[in-house]
Amino acid sequence: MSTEAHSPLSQFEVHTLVPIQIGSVDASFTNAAVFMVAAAASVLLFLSLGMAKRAMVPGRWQSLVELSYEFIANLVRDNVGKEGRRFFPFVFALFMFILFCNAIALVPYTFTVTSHIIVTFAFAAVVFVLVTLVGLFKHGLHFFSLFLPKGVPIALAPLLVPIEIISYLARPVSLALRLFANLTAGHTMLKVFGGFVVMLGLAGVAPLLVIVVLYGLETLIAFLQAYVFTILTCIYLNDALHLH
Amino acid sequence: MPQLDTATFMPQLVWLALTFIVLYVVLSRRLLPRIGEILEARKDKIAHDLGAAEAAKKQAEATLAAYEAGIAKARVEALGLHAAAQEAAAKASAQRREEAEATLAREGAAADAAIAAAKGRALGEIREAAAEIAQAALARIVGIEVDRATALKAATDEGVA
Repeated sequence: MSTEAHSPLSQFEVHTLVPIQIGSVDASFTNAAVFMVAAAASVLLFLSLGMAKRAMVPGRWQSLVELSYEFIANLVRDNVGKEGRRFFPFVFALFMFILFCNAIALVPYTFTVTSHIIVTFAFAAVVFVLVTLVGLFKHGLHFFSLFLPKGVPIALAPLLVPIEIISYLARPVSLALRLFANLTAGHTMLKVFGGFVVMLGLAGVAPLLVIVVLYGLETLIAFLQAYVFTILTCIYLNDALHLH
Repeated sequence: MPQLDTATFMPQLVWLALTFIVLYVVLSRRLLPRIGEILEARKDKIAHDLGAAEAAKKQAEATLAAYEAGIAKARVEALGLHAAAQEAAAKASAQRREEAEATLAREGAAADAAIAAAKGRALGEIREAAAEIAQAALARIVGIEVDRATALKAATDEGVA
């Protein structure tokens, strides 16, 4: 029993299962990759099996699929408007992927893909680049008026423009950190209290009750963080499309 | 913290890109359009069915209106027929009564005439009988011979009945 194996952080370790090297790029198949594939495959199975019958009157599973479709479709329509239709597949894929990663991670002994800063930052960077490119293509250089809110006296511009630029650049960081921190903290807490249960023997019932409560909270967070990431993406897209 | 181990970054990025791109492509090319189609088809069907229901309701209303118009027309016709029949019946009965009255008047007049004739004849006979009786009585009792014309004249003047 090494202390390493019981560290609450050991659950986040990435192990190489199949070493793969493409040129200078390390593309090894890791335990993280297993759960990325699992999440993507689960999303595809959930949707395609649910829609297999294509019933005019949907059953329970098909209703669930349609519910998720309309949930994101409404989110995009309400926050981005009609031009957001083009981005719907991306936003939907983003939401479902993060949601399924978070949900699968709730099963004991699984790996939490979204607890890795590199994963959340990759998503945030994709969103940031997409939003910036969309804004530039749509408005050209006028896009930079985003950094000077309307109705602000010119005298305040030297102060406000740097602040707006910094807040714009901080978006991907906050987007990435929020998801990463929530998932990491939650799963670490579960592990810490799990350790207490083992250490305290019979008295371990108390931390066990805490785990039950924490698990409920983590279930909420799994959905909520996927939703927050998605809605912020929509809001950023709306800013880029319509400025403000 | 294992998350800060930069050696794990590249494999994670590679597999993340791979899985997410596959997910995105399958979703945007196949699954989402399919779901969208079903939702669209359902919306169309509901709209179509509502339209059909609306049309059926309109038709039912039109049929009801036609039925009511027919009923009203029939009632007016029936009233007309009734009035006409009543009038015809009244006319016919009035005519029959007139005819009956005329017949009665004619027969009454004939009967009156017959009665008057019979009465005249009876009076004549009574007068003659009276004159005869008076003539005979005078001849027998007083012994005066009165001729027949005088006796008859006396009977008529005095009035026998």
